[in-house]
Amino acid sequence: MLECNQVLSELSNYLDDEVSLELSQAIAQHLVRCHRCWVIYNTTSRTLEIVSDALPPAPPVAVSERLHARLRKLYPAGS
Amino acid sequence: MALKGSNAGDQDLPLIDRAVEGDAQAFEELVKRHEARVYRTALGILHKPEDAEEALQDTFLNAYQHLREFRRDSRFTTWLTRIAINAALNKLRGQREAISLDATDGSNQEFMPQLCDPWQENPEHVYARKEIQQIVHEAIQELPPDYRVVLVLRDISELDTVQTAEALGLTIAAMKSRLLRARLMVREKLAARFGKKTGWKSRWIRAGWMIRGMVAGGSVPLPRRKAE
Ligand SMILES: [Zn+2]
Repeated sequence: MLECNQVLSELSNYLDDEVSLELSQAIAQHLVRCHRCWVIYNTTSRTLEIVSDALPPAPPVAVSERLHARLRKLYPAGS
Repeated sequence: MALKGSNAGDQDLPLIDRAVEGDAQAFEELVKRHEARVYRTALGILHKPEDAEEALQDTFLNAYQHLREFRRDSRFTTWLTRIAINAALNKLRGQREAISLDATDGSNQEFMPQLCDPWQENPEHVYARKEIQQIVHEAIQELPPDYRVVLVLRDISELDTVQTAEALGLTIAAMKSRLLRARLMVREKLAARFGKKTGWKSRWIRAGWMIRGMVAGGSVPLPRRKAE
């Protein structure tokens, strides 16, 4: 049986699916039995979803245009 | 695993070859491929859109001028990200005191979550999307820069584990422990906004969860898979 602090220290890896199958199962079992760890797991997972959605996927068109305009001045003439 | 990244299969290499030969079109293509990621990186670190725009321009100007120095022992993405981080940190330095990315490597210090109540239903149902984005952006800005950068690279710019470690010049283990802390710190800040207040009601809900957990046995959600 895993300890709470072992679960916590593997939490990132578990969320990123970067743990062995064996460890993953042990963590899942712990989460069913331990409410505190379950809450931390659940809210961290939701945190990551919210974080990845928090910024625009691409720069605004005007920002992109200004970037390309500025770069064009660097390019050698004729290219 | 050795930290040395492989650039085998780096789709950018043919374009880089042409750009180095002076083909502006090829460089333009590289910019188009990478500008969204660079912008997100800069915006995540800097917060203000006008600062992020300057960092975006600085990054590609710098990349253009130093393209010949790109040593192909890592991916172009990683190299470019390193330039972007520097550009963003230069802006931060202009604003505040000196910033070092390895100033606070207290990663071996455990970060203990304090707020452990479940969250209200979906924050998305309680707050407008814009409002949530604002809250998250503020939470990220409050992180010390070295934690902020690792979180931005991994969870906003969506670099993989190896690329993130490489871009920061950290071992994978060091990067991972810093990332865990950064994620827990942001969670803590969001929990202060989205967490239920502890009271008889939440204790009932909690009891309900525990019973459900015991009855359902394997009802724990599967780990989130990173799309790659
Ligand atoms: Zn536990």
